[in-house]
Amino acid sequence: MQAILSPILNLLHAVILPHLGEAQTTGWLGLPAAAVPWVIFGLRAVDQTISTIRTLVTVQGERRLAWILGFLQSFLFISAVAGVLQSLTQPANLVAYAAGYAAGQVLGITLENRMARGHSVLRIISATKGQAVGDALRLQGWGVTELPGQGLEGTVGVVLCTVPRKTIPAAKSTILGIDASAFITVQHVFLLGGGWRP
Amino acid sequence: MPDLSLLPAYVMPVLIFFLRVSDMSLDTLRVLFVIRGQRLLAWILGFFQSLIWVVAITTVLSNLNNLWNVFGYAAGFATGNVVGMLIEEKLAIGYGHLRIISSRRGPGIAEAIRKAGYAATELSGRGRDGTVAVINCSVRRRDIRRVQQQVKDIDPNAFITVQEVRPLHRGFWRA
Repeated sequence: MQAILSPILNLLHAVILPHLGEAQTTGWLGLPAAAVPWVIFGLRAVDQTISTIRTLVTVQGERRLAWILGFLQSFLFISAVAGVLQSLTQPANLVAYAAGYAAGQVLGITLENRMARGHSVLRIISATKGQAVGDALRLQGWGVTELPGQGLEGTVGVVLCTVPRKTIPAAKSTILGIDASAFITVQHVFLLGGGWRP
Repeated sequence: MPDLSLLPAYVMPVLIFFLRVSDMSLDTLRVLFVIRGQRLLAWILGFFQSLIWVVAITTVLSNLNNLWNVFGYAAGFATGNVVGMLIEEKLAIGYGHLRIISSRRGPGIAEAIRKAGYAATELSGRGRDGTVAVINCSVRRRDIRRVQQQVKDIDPNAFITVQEVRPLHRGFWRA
């Protein structure tokens, strides 16, 4: 490990560290050396968590939130990088940097699933119970449109139901409670207007 | 790279800010192109994005004792992200699939969409209060607002959802 890292470290030492000037000798933020890897880990974990959510918010077109999250993320990132670069002799710092990144990815995905912003459309194909599935979903308060379709073994019910992403698991168990063999797909949609919602 | 430490101290944060604004605009565009499978554009944007980024980050890292540099860096990142979103919205590359559900004005909506030059496929479905029309209509993303307006004019209560789609084969796309 050391053998692989040392040429890289030497390069970084030669290229970047001379620019760091006096900060190099004072120690990063005046922290005790043992605490630095933990702080770096924490900074990266948080910045990557924010990054995951920012990406989602960006795709959804929410500008203000994207700006705020972007600022926080970038601020934490540059702090973490500074911490690593100012004590490159400590392999623990590098490991903490990478581990923080990885942990942040996992945390970000988890948190994003928990938040579940936006809406999805469920397309349910049921061989015999299309109408019952539609009625059950309506009872739960969601808007449903049923279409007749043609499958291998005759007429099937195609049920369209747009729900908030958060409620997908609830909708799924409602559907499977009526027809355990229903075919369900989920797609992300943007709502432009109308419809009845609870 | 020119010696940036020769610049007056107040120039540096501003410079860093604009470097980051440009690299993040490119990066946001790049991500949105990657999602839509535009490889060549993604490559070009990725190249220039990382080029600018390297300049910005080395400038910050070699002047960390000035906190304004760090603020410039973070604010540039955040602003660039939003600028990228705005550019992307203006470009509106790609296609959207509109699904319009109307309880009474289905045929009227389909006719209006067709008259405006887009294609519409009507299906009949069953809703809470009886028969409804489901109209499928795929258009370029930049045309979505226009079609939406057409629909609203005829049935303000129509339920409209949009999904991003990739065209696979033919169909009628208004040129």
